[in-house]
Amino acid sequence: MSVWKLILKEISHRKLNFILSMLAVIVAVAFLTGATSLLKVESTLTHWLHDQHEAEFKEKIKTKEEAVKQAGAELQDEVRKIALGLGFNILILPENQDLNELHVSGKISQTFPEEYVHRIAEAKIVTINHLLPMVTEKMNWEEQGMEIILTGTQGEVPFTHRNNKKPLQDQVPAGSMVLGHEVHQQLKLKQGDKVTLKGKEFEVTELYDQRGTADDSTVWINLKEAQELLNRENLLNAILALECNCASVDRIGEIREELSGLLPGTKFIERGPPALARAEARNKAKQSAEEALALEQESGLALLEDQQASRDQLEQQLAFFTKVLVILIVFCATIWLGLLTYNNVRQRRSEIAILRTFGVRSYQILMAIIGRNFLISLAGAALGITAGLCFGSVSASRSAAVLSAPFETPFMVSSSDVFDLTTLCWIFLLAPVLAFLSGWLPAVIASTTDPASILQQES
Amino acid sequence: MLLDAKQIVKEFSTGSQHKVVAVNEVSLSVSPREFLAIRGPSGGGKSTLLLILGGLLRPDQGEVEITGKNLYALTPEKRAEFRASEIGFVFQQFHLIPYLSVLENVIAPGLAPRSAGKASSQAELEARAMELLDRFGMTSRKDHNPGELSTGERQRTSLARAMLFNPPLLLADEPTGNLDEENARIVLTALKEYSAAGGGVLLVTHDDRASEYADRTLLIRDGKLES
Repeated sequence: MSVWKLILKEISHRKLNFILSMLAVIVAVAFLTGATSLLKVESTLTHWLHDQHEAEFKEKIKTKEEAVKQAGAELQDEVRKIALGLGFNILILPENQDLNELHVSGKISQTFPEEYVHRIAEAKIVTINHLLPMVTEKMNWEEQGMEIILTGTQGEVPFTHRNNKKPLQDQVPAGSMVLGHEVHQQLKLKQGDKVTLKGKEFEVTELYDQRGTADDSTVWINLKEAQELLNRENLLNAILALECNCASVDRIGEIREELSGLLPGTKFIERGPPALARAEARNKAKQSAEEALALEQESGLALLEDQQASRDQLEQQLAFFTKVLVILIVFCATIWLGLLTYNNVRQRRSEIAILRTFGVRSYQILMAIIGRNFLISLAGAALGITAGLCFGSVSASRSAAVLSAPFETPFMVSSSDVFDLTTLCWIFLLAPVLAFLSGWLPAVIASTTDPASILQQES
Repeated sequence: MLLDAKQIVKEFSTGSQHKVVAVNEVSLSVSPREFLAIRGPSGGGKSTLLLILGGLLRPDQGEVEITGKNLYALTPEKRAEFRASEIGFVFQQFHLIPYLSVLENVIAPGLAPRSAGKASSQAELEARAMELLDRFGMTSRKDHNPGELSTGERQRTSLARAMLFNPPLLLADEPTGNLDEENARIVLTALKEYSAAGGGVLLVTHDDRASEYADRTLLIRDGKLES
């Protein structure tokens, strides 16, 4: 006969007390384990959600950045086209050209060497993006009986020191002719028609829509052919400089500063305020888009931070209430177990008295009571941990399924998210401590019971 | 002398100032091979005297010596150890442990730590218990729980338990109080035989039949012994 055998026999005899006692431990341990698991999963889930929101936000910002970039590019392209349609942005003219003549009659009678355009193209100029050399003459198209502006153009002269940008204007091939709106309308010309100009035959290759400018009365041919027809070989009337990269509004000043040493005997004019306004509008639109993007980025980050802070706060509140609840439940379970142990001791008064009469020591009685609670706590802890983990896993999976539903990749709860071994070990060790605390007082009462008083009462 | 009690006095308070003298200057002795019966009415102080003589209840006055040792000069732990090896107890209420079998109840005193040289192995205890159960006709009931036994069988089990270590002194408190004629005879015969075999037996009872088996009978009334 040993104390342990006595404990096991007693447990099998008083099953109800044992089951109720074990239930107290199961409830306490299950709550503790379940709460710990839930808090752990909640924390992991919070971080996961934050990462998902952050990734989603970054993706959104990236998409918007691309959209802004694309919109900016489209805007620039659009402005470029508009600028081209409007005429010149910057016009480089011979210094002695009478501007009054240009404005009143649209005629440029003075010339400078064609070599100037190559000089600019070979220089490291940063203020100009596109160069279009030209000769132009207001003349009577005798064969058609119509006043026109004849313009010879080469198309874009590439800058040799930088990557070529998209050419603004295709070169008019030799033998081809491009007609402005009024010209082809009045002369009823269409693409493919053959016409002669100053005795030279051309094929109409393109018809422009109405622009509402002098372009509507312009006929474009190849630069070389125009120079020959107008007797201006190796000479130019003007150079169109388009898309100026000017930092300030004083575009002319910036270009003049850069080109004055390079092109002696030239002067520069800007073609009309709409071009400037559009260039500024373009810059402003780009700036606004960038500002809007930055604002969105900032507000998005703030929103993310707010969400994180709010979840952190929620997590802290949950942890606090869980702690309070767990402490309350563990306390109640301890009291419950203590009362059941006390009841058990009362039921065993006679047994304890006779054992003491036989000489069984008080520490053995203490051991019998505490040992019983120890076994209860181990069995209860094992079952409680199992129950707590099941509860924690199920709740965590449900919570994860609901919270991760809006995202493409669902949050999968793994075992490491639900528990860690160290915590479980601590909980498993806590159970015997709880059993010890709850059983201590009844055990002391039992071990110090005076057997004589009990035997006297029962005799 | 096996048991020597001198001038034992024990009082109990029943109120603020009122005291009851349960045992009043009792002196008695029991020799080996002697069966002493103390008779008296209920409330006469018999059980209190037995508890004092068994080292379970400290007297207000007087001394108790068993095999030459003053019981109440020992520490509680030493007294428990002494009780485990030197005294056997039989009670009217049997005090069997309900969840142990008859055999386990008989060897239950083996739980108590015993002084060096007196320890027995589990096998020795079981052999001795089986011998006693056989003697009391309880062999077939050894695996039954007390709840499944008759009152006579319970008392016989209790008797076997008291005799497990063959203690020099056997103290019996009303062992026949709940028994029928036949079982009372079995118990009293067993006590008689125990004393005849060398042990001292002190029986407190109000049963007149005890005098037929006892070597000597004393009468206790209001805590005082009368011859």
